[in-house]
Amino acid sequence: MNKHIWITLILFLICYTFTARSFAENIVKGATLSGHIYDKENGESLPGATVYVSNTKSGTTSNNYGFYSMTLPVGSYHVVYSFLGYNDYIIDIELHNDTTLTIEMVSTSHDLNEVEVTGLAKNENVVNAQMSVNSISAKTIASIPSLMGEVDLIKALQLLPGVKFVAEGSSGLSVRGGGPDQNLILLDEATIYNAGHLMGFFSVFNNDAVKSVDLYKGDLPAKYGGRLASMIDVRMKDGNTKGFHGNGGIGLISSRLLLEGPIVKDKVAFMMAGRRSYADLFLRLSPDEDINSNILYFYDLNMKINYNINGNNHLYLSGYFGKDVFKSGLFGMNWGNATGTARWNHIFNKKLFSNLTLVASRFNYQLGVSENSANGFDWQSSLDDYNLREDFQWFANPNNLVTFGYSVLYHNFFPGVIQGTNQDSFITKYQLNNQHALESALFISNEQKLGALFILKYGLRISMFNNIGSATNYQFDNQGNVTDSTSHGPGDFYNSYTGFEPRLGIVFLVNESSSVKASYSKNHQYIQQAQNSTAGSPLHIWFPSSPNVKPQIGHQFALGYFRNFSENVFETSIEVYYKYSNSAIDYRDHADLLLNKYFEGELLFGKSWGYGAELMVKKNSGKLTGWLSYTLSKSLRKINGINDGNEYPSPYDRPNDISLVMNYDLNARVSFGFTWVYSSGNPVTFPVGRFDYNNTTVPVYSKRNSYRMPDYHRLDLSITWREKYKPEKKWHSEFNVSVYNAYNRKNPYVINFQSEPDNPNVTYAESTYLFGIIPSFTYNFKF
Amino acid sequence: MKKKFQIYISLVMFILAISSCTERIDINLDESYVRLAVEGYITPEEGEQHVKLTKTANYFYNNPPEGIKQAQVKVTTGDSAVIFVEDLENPGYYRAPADFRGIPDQTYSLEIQLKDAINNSVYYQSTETMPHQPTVIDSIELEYNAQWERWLVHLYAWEPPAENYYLFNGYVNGKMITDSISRKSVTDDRLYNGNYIGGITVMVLYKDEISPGDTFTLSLSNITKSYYDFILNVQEEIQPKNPLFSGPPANVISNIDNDAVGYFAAFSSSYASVLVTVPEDWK
Repeated sequence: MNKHIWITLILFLICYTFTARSFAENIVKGATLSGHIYDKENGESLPGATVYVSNTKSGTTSNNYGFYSMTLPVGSYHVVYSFLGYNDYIIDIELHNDTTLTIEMVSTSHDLNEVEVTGLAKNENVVNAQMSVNSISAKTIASIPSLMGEVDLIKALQLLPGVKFVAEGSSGLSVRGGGPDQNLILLDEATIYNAGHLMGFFSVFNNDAVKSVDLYKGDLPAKYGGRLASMIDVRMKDGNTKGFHGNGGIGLISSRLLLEGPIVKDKVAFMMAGRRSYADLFLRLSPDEDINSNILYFYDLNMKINYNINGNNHLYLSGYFGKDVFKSGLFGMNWGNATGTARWNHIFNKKLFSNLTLVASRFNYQLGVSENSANGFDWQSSLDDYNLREDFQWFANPNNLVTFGYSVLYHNFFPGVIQGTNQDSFITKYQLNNQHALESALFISNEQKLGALFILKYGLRISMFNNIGSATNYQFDNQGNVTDSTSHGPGDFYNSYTGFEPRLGIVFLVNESSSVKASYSKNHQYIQQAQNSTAGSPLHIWFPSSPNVKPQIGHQFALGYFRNFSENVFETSIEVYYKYSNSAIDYRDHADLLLNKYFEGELLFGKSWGYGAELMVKKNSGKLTGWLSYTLSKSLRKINGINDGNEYPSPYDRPNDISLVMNYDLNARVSFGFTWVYSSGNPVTFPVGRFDYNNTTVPVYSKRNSYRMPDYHRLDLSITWREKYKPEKKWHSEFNVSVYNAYNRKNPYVINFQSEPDNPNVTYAESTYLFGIIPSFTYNFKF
Repeated sequence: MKKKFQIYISLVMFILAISSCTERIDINLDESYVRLAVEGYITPEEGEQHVKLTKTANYFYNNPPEGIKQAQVKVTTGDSAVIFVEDLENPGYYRAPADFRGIPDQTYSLEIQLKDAINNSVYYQSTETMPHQPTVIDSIELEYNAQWERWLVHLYAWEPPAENYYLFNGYVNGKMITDSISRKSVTDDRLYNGNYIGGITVMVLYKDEISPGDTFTLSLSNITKSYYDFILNVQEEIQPKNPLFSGPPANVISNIDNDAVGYFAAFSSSYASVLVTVPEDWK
């Protein structure tokens, strides 16, 4: 079977290469115009900038590293480089030979100072072959009113169509009804397994260090895979190659500082950003000894070095370290992510761009009682990833852009060990079985323009998953009880899965400002999280597919209409989708997922499906910018062993969802932020009956998820004052005041049903809400 | 294990409590059909074997449950059968004959025949095996924690190598003070299996429940895994839920057929007592 796949693939590659080459040779005496596009002020590369040749009405966009390449017949051309928020760069060129043109574009705004964006928006959303994708700039994220002044990328993503928060204040996302563990979150290509700080109320991304965020909903580019619902691709700033600068801020919860600058001008630059919270400083003010002795903080460190070796070689090294620390008396816990990424861009020739990536990433947590007595214990868990990935972009000719490559990802699961810290300890060491797995993939895709009206995108990702020994595998009966076990020696590839994952898309360009797009994609997910709570705690346990756990396989069909108005000032879109999976995972009632060797016996398998419509109206320029999104959707499951085998709404099924996000620049110095969200309540299971057992009133429940929490809505406001801009001044500052939940809506976080302590026969419902109206302020500076 | 985790959860709850508020709300809940609820016990001890039959009610019924009268309740083991006699003063209670004793390792079948059908059934049945002889308690120790204002009960015992599930109850001067599910403690032996248990905390009691001079008794019962799950799951369902940790609410599995709820339990217990002395930091 496997041999067959490889042969097919090699043939496919060879055939493809020949056909594409013959295409390329059909162009009479072609010459290639290529190069990088940078920001003139700070030297950051500009991914997604458009290059448009007006004589031929053809164009291309720069890739993730700002590289572009276009092959044209010999001749003279009028070329326009453009990027949102930047002045167009226009050049007339006589193209006789292959030409390298490095473009430095000038931003139309000085971030903190001149706010009016004059650069015209482009019709990128109309002509992009990729659908179901949203991008947000770090600047937009920063303009959204925030909880306790912490600007938060994840919270900004939650405002996009098709994306919902899983619980108030949570860093978990549900994309098109999927679970939070079905999102691939990448920070400079390294997987972030837990994107939350402080129980998830804040995300691990320090917005200062973020350059761009792209969200792919279900339809992942062929070079990525491994998750069913979405990919969140976060890229850090590369570092300023022109001069030494810094920025930072002081807020209620945390302070942050970013420094960047050239080590060798225009060649080597660094970026370092740090953030630390100080919530525990407030706890210390409490007179109560139980409270003021607690320690509670998190920190983040982002670091990056980029080295432009020569025009054809570019090296990037980046790292992220984040940790949450919590101590109360002798009890302590900490958890965090650490990632390191090394990337090497190499340009083989004007048409072939490659990127080699090496990633090491780790998520771990530790908790325990540090007492040196029988009560002391220590619990550790971690997940390590090592990834080698190489992808090539071949700018074959103006009509074909081929991406291909491979990825090998090794997972090392160390789900947990608990042991006493002292010889008198009454806790016997209990260790969950370690697991090792290899997740590899080969991918190839092409973006092909067919005449002036059609763009095709077709690709295939072949994924392979191997469980590797040493390992112990258990067999279970229908009730989830262990019946037998099998041991596998070290290095034994004892179980494999293979996946064919086609990614297809077509764009029909109705005219310059409107298009119809359709796509189909199939994804295989081989690792998932053992968690049956909605919001999710930091005690994540990720587990791989195995002989007992089949990979989750998801299919998604989407159709969309994209239309821009008023010279692309307004972008509108409507997308409908249908997705399903025949290998969805849920858990038995009262599942025991924590420190349980046999937790695979708690899993149940079945189907999940969902459908919906997503509308978005977005205004990109002018004094008022922002968007309105509306999602109408359904997300369902049917799993043997849950709800008597009948279908039920998934925990993230919230049919109506509205977000209105606006930023209004009153003048160069004052701007207002406004966010309003509305969403149907989460589906919940409520008691409909009760019985008495041993002086205890025990609930009898409704069908799974047959009730709904009250509707959720909330208004956030902010105002930002900037210091008057003086070009000669180095230090610029601004002051931001945010109000979270401005009309103090008591959105229930959870509704509990309780008995009166002195009379168990009397029962009542109690709603808990987390955040009332919360004002906060932040002081930001830049130099 | 659950205990340690509960400590962690309570600390997290404390963090949430800094910013969260609760209030009672009105909610309309659907009405549900009536089911039979059973609470039955077989033990080797005198006077404790009984079966209680009641009806389920709507969640906000807010009255004592309705006892079921004039049912026939029979318990069989091997070839012998005993009829449990209706207690006319306490509607819904059916009691074993005075000389009836449960025996470890025996399997007991409960048969119930109702006068009027509930949920279309008049006949209900359940089977439970009483686990082997209980683990012997070496000794217990009472510790008073002045900071929490709680009594901690420590257990010393050899934990046998077999897979065991334990239920602990507390008595003050012979009267049970853990007489509701939320007060009981249960544990499996996952972290202690085959070890000497050198003083783990098996129960936490309020300050005013015990006074110096009282005799405190701890009972340890070996229970079946399914009864352990039942108690644990009831405790889980009556505790407030938290979206960070709690799984979806789910009905507690019963060992009675025909969609009845409750549990028919069989277990034996060992006991240890201490005389309560005045602790050092007693106020």
